[in-house]
Amino acid sequence: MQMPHIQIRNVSKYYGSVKALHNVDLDIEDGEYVVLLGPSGCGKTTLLKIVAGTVEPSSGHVSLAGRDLTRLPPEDRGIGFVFQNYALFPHLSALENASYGRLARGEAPEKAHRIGQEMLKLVHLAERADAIPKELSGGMQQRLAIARALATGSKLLLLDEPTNALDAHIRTELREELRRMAKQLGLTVVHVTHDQEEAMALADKIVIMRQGKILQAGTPKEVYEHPATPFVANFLGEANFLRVTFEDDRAQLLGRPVEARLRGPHIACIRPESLRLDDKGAKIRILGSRAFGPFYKYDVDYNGLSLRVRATHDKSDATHVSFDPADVLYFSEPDEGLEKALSAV
Amino acid sequence: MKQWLNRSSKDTRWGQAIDAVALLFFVFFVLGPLFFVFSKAANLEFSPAMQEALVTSFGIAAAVTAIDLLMGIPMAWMLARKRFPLKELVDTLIDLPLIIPTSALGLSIALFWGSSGLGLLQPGIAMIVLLHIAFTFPYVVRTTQAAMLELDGDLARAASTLGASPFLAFRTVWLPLVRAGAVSGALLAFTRSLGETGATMLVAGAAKTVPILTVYYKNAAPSDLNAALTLSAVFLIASALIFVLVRQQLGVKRMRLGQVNAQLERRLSRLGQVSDGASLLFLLAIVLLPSFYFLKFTDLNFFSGPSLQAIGISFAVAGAATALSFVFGIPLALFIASNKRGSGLVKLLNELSMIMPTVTIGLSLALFWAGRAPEAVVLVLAHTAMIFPYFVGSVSEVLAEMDENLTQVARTLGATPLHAFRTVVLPLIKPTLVAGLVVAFMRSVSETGGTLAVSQNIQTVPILIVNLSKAGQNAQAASAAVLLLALSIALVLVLRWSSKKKW
Repeated sequence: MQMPHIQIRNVSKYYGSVKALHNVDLDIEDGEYVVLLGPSGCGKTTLLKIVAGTVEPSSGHVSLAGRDLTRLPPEDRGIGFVFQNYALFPHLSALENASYGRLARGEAPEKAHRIGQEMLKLVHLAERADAIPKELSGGMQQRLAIARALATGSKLLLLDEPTNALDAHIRTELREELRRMAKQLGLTVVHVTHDQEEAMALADKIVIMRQGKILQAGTPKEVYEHPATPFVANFLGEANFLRVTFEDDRAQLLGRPVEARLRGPHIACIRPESLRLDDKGAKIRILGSRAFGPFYKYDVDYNGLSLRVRATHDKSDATHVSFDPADVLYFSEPDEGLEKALSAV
Repeated sequence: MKQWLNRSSKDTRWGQAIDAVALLFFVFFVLGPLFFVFSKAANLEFSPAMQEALVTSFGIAAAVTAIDLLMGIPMAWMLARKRFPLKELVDTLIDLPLIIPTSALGLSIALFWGSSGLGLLQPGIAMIVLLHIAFTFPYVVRTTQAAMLELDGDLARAASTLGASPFLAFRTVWLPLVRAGAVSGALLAFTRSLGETGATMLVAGAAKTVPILTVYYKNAAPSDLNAALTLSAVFLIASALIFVLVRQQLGVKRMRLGQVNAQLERRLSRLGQVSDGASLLFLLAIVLLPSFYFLKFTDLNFFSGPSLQAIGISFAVAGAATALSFVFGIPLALFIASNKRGSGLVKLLNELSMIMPTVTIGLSLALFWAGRAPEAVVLVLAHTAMIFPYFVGSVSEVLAEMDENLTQVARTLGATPLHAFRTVVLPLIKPTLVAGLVVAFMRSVSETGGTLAVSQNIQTVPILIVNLSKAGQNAQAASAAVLLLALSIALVLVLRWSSKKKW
């Protein structure tokens, strides 16, 4: 089996005059779990389908382990693909679904079925081998779709929003299962989602996309702590954005001086958990609060600006807010304006 | 369960009254007249000639259906899933044979293959098969195509990412999953082929199908009426049996894959273009050209008084029958879709009415209404009985598929049942209503076999065409057909245009 090392070079995709992807470059290493994250319409699924071969790029190249795939039809690529609604064959049993890839490549039925059965065992479906997809629960269907993709022997698994159709509880369970399986089998995975929590839970590398372009790629920690743009900061968790103006490397932020080697108007970004509700700092008024169990969320008003604050304990009596200047990120004012820079489209 | 339909009329006495009126209309003006024929059947005698006609009819229908499927499924596949130049045009052309009045179609086929055209065939069984293909092919293509378009495209993509060649994906994924659509189209083709009378008479030569033999018995001598009735009864029972049996087989079936010869299927995949070419050629040479060949014989000098008068009559009859179907058909369709007690039975009876050969319908209606009403009224009622089941069938199907939450939302927002129906249901089923009305109207305008049985002095256009072409006056017959065709197309266009306007 060849080792996957995927190179995506300068790939663009146009649908008429609509551009779905714009000059995308991406490298995916062998054994890496990569999550493509972004709002709907950002091009992440199109990129995945271009790798799978079900969508042809308008320009650019895709190669796998040094071999150019761009003109190869999907049936000759040897890639495991799990579709958003699983696309299980409704007229075939779980076992025949799982064996389909082997049978399609001309393997003898006994051997194909033996491998199918092994794959069903791997995803804990061995006892439901005779069931048709309709008779399986949502979680089982998703596991069957994965078994079917893996049974081809592919070491590269492409997942298109695979947990979308599942209940929140099962979703969390399957995530853990997915990552464990990927690491155990040494798979290279490209996983598309719009759920940032899912991305953080699964990824070795998160690739954040917007408007057909890649904004940033890095480990979950990197992209969360050092977002490249206000959009990335906002999309990965929550963020408060405040306008500041630097003069001589100094500015006023929430009633206290801050320092940075910057000039002129900027946008300061503070995560809700970096703000401390207390009786020190800037005077605020609490507008609303919600208890989430492990933490609390507050909406507070500071001089007519509304801020989001997160605390680990009940802070309903607080009158002030403070922060550690080291937790503040600064972005230059986006050309298109802050509101547009944060919107998905 | 369609609770919303239940509620929307059960709540009020009005609702029950409407149900009752629709059911009474169905029983007394559709079912009663249609099945009246069997109360007249006295001693049933089954002659060898009848036996032969039954074999001929079922043989022809089977051959027609088989060829329709063989050529129609690749055609549907090409239209549903491929892109090619002039696709829109091909898509439109497929329906065209349906708008030609069947008697004109029969004339056209006879002229094309016979001595006035290619000179390849004499009237007979082969010509009947070719005629029936021309007007049943669209059904098979359309229903299969619709099933393919409804199918999740990801299924085929999944097959290809798993390594299946296009042919293998077609055989193991598409075909099993569109089977129900293809079979229901085939069933329609089969029953239409069995029952077609008017056009078949023009191409049959010495061959005798059941409808032709029925017409012969009816016209030959009053004493043979009993033979006609016997034949009709046996024929209807046999058709109904096939219909019900096949219907039970619909739905997605489990399948086993077995051994796959990947190499062979891969090679077959490369034949895709050959198959596309063959489909297009078939459409052109077997369906379209023969169907429109009669245009060559039209002569503008023959747009005469009789044909204009016949057109007036045809349109008046069709208009009245369509209006009656509309008024009484919508409540009945609502009743069928509601799942109330008895709705299943009404649905089955409505479907059985559809598979009745038109000549049997005509015979039954003639006997039922004989002397009870003026000929013109009988003609309108006969056409109503023939088109009503189709209209009800298509409307009730859409109603049954509709998302019931929509009307529930309307009612939680304060709409009365009637208001919800008028503002939510009606706009949503409007395309089907318009299409159903167009189809009903066209069927009435082009209906031949049944009309032959009831008409005495009044001539509709199809009757005129049959009479003219029997008299060897092909040019006059073709001209009458062209005139009818042109006016029908104009009408359809006006209806389509008006239906695009906002509700």
